[in-house]
Amino acid sequence: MINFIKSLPYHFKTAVKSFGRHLAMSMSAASAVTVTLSLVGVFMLLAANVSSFTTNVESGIKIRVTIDPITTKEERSSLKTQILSIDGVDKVTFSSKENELKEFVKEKGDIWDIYKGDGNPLRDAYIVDVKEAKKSDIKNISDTIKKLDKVEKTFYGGDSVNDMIDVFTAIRNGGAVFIAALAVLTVFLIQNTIKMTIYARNREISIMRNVGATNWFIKTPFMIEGMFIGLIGSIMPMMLTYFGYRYLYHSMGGKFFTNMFALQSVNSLALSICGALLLFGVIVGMIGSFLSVTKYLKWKR
Amino acid sequence: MILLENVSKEYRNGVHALKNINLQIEDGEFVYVIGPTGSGKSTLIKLLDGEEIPNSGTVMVENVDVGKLKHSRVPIYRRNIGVVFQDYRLLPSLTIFENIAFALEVIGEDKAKVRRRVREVLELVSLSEKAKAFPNELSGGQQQRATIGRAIANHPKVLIADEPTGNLDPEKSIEIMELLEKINKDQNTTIVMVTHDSTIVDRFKKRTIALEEGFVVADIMKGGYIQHD
Repeated sequence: MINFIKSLPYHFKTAVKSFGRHLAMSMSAASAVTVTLSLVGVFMLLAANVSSFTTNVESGIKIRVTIDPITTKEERSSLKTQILSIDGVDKVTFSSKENELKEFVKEKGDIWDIYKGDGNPLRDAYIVDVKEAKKSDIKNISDTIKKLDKVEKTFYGGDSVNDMIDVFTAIRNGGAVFIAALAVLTVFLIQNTIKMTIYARNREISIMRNVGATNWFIKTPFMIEGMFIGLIGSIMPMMLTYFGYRYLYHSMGGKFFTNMFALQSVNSLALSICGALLLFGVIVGMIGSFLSVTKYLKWKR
Repeated sequence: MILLENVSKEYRNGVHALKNINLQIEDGEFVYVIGPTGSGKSTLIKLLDGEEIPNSGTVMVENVDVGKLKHSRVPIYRRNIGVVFQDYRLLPSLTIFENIAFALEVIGEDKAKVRRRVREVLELVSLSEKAKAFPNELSGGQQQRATIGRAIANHPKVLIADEPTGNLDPEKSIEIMELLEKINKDQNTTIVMVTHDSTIVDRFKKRTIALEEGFVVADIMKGGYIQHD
């Protein structure tokens, strides 16, 4: 182990030299990395945003429970405790009918102001927040509340919201599968390209064994070289991800058509994806080289 | 010491290269292995080098059972033996200096020692002024001397040379022979040299082992090329 660490500078130097001497080959391997990592980057951006859309939409869903106008204070507070005791309910807030009208006016326009005062046709209401994990149960919870005493009606986004959440979940899961598949493809592609570059040097490898180089001594510079290839290959995808996403973010005003679909901020998302791409490129380059050299080492005794 | 006992080697394609070979070569000996093409000379070298495993019998070199070595141990065994290949096998992307240094770097020698030893070796094989040249910039004889230099760089106990004069003109061949004799005398290195150069064998008389169709047909101490009918 100590010997290994001591020889690292040597291997590092060898890898740099070899990268330079086989520049064309190294660059072709790096460009294969660039192409696939660019795809991975785009899909990661897409998946991350769809995923945050889903969370946004989900957290926006609340159940509005209108209360029968003829209820005593006690009945109201007992209703509140009953709702709170339902599994999945997070929070219950009271909203008076004046408040409800104010919200309505804000949404629909000033002409509805005429209903202010005694003519207010709206009802007092409880706004029910549902726990994150129980969002898919929202229909059942809403139905349970409806059956309670003194409840007039319950509303939530309805089935259309549920459908949208289903679609987003499908996109998110599909995206994850796609990214995983793309990752596997990248490993294969890079391994293959590196295999070609190493194939051209398999005589070199057998000569190294001839003069007494151990397998690890031969593998290490190749693996470092693979890491360089991954590193260089990931530069373009990182720039594409960062600047491309920044441009998109600003030109769309930070949202995808509506505020509900707010895009994730450039720095936190694009930078972490850049980091992931870099790490991915370097690791894949290393593993690709390792697999390829190991194969050629076995060829000759 | 090199000791072969009842060694047979048959390749997968059915070629029976060596048949029941028994040989003993003492420390510090200089031995020729001669024979026509296909007589098993190259196979003998591959067995000594650990590149091939005998089908039966044992190959002992410096108390190592070469045929029983694990794949990962083969290179470590090779550090004790130097091999001069007929096709030189220099690393094309390294200079002559780096090529010889490589054989020392792989065993973890420190930089200063490596540099000193490489200069010594380059001096010995008269390639000092070609240190910075790449193998393809050298003539055949120069490349041959570079491989000899690499083979002897870490003071091996055994030097195996596969047709070291094969591609050279007579004048250069004599130069190489004198170099090998010098290594044999000065370092007491055991040398096994495969050749079919009859003028060399006749001129530098040494123990000569003749192979034919996989058998040892002659083993004469006084040397000289053996003519067959």
